[in-house]
Amino acid sequence: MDCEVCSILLPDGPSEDLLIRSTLDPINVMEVRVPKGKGIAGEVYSTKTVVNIEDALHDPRHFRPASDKSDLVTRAMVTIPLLDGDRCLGVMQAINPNHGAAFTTQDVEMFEIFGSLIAVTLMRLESQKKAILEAENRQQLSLATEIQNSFLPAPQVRLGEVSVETFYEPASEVGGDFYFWHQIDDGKILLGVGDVCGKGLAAALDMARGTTLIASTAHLCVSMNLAEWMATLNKRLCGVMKAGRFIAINAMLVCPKMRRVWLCCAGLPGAQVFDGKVWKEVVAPGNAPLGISCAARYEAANLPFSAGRQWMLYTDGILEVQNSAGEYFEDHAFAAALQHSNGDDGFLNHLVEQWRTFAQDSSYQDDATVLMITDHSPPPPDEIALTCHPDTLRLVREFIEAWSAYHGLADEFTGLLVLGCDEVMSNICKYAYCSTSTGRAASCRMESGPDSVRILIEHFGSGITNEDFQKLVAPPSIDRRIGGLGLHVISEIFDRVDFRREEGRSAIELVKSLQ
Amino acid sequence: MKPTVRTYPNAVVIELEGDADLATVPEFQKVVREQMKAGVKRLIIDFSKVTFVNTPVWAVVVEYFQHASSAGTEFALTGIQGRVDASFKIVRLGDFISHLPTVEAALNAVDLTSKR
Repeated sequence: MDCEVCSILLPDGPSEDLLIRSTLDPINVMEVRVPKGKGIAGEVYSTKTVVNIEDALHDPRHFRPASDKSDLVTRAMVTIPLLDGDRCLGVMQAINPNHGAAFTTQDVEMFEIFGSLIAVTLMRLESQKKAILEAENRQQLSLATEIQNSFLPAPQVRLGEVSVETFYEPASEVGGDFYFWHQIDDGKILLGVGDVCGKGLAAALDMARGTTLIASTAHLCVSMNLAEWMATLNKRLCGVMKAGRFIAINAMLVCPKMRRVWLCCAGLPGAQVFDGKVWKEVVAPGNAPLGISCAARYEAANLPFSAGRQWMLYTDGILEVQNSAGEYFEDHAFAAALQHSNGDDGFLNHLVEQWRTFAQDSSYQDDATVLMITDHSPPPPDEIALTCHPDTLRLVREFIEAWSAYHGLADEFTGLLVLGCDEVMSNICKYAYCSTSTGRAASCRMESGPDSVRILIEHFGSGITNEDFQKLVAPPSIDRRIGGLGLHVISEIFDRVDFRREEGRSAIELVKSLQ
Repeated sequence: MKPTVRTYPNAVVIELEGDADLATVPEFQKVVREQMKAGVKRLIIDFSKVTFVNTPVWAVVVEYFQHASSAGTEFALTGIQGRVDASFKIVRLGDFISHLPTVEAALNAVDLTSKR
């Protein structure tokens, strides 16, 4: 343009102030900005229409930024928008024509043609920038995915009588979810699922930190209980994670030898257990996610491993997915999927299939992870039938020991069950069946309840009634020949004792509370 | 469970092992009654290797305790632990019968009657 000064004004930053680049060098040094909507440039930028004026100085729309300390005296000025369709990329200004007092129509046309070339160039620059950014993001995502996958263990494993299966689906290339399993030296298995807050490289790095710390501290579960281990892990995570970042983890410690399970839920939905008939939510105390406060305390539920054949841990992405109707998976579909299970080995596939079908039209999906544990150890019999004789009583004791071990009962508790039942069986041998009895059949059946153990002993000898029991039970005394002491032991050990006769046989029902 | 009898200069020790139950009572009772007849001055029954005890076995112990009280014999139980201890506590024999941690302690004790 044949004029004193040409400038281009482009939006800069989220405020959309127009930053001036000019043929007048001092202005470039001054970093002159026009606030959004101000001046003729602001008007052209918002209205996308050309403004050509002869006397800019006296135009009420004229605005000279305070930062403009140049000597330029603006007289005539033409301002054009730089357009990409309906989108305005910026504006260009030509100031003070050299050939006259004002810019002619031809000048404006020429300036607009030139402006359209500039707009194309700006668009090219913009798309180049975008491509570079996308490439950087792709590289970042690919790196993050690589990092993440390298920290996840095998999706399936068999550890003795326990098998572990997982389903893992990140929402994008990089998710914040993870799962872990570790077999510890003493035979225990530490496993769980986790969800790191956020997405992308930062989440992948936190996930790497979390899984590395879990792997390096898993051995502590030999001597620590699960709650203590979670507190230790939390302290270490607090030391390495940035403020505002955290990891939700539901962890489970399985001891196949003791047949006990510990569950610690920290920021994720609970766990489900299949008790042989239905899936039930495991009652466990809730805890804070890890990495927030090193003073956080953790509590874990302690349960018999026999409470279920299958156990399931999952992240919130399973429950929170929505279908096209806006329903959450946890509303009804999750319960429906659980109902159609008989505890078989294909359950995880069934659940995933149901979840995928439900989520297929979902607009948003979080990372989703499920970890399923199946106990393949064969359960011992619940009942023993025997010929009642002093030499066979040890079979009843062994039966109770095996049953109690499978049901994860404490040794002290088992010892009392063994003693109490042995006292009953000894009395049946000595008194219910006289020495000449030929038929000496007896049976013992064990039943596990949520709060108690129930034992039913049956025989065909002459049994006593509850009234007889009250008369015969005697506190220990050293002054007379010992007698009734077995009944005293029975009454001391069990919380409920019921002697009854039913259809030609005698039954003794014994109940001991687990509390 | 087969009771083993060991004779020391100042005492006789009956050592029991494994499960002590209705099936093993006759043998245990026989050994104990032999010691009654022999008129030992100090009898020690050691339970340190016993894994299970029921009341028919405690009845034999009480039988000897009653004999010892009238015959002026010193009598003590040793090595009661674990499940045996749980059974011992329920029948409350510790209120009457002397019991010490080890056979050695019972052999070296000056007066067993004070070890209840």
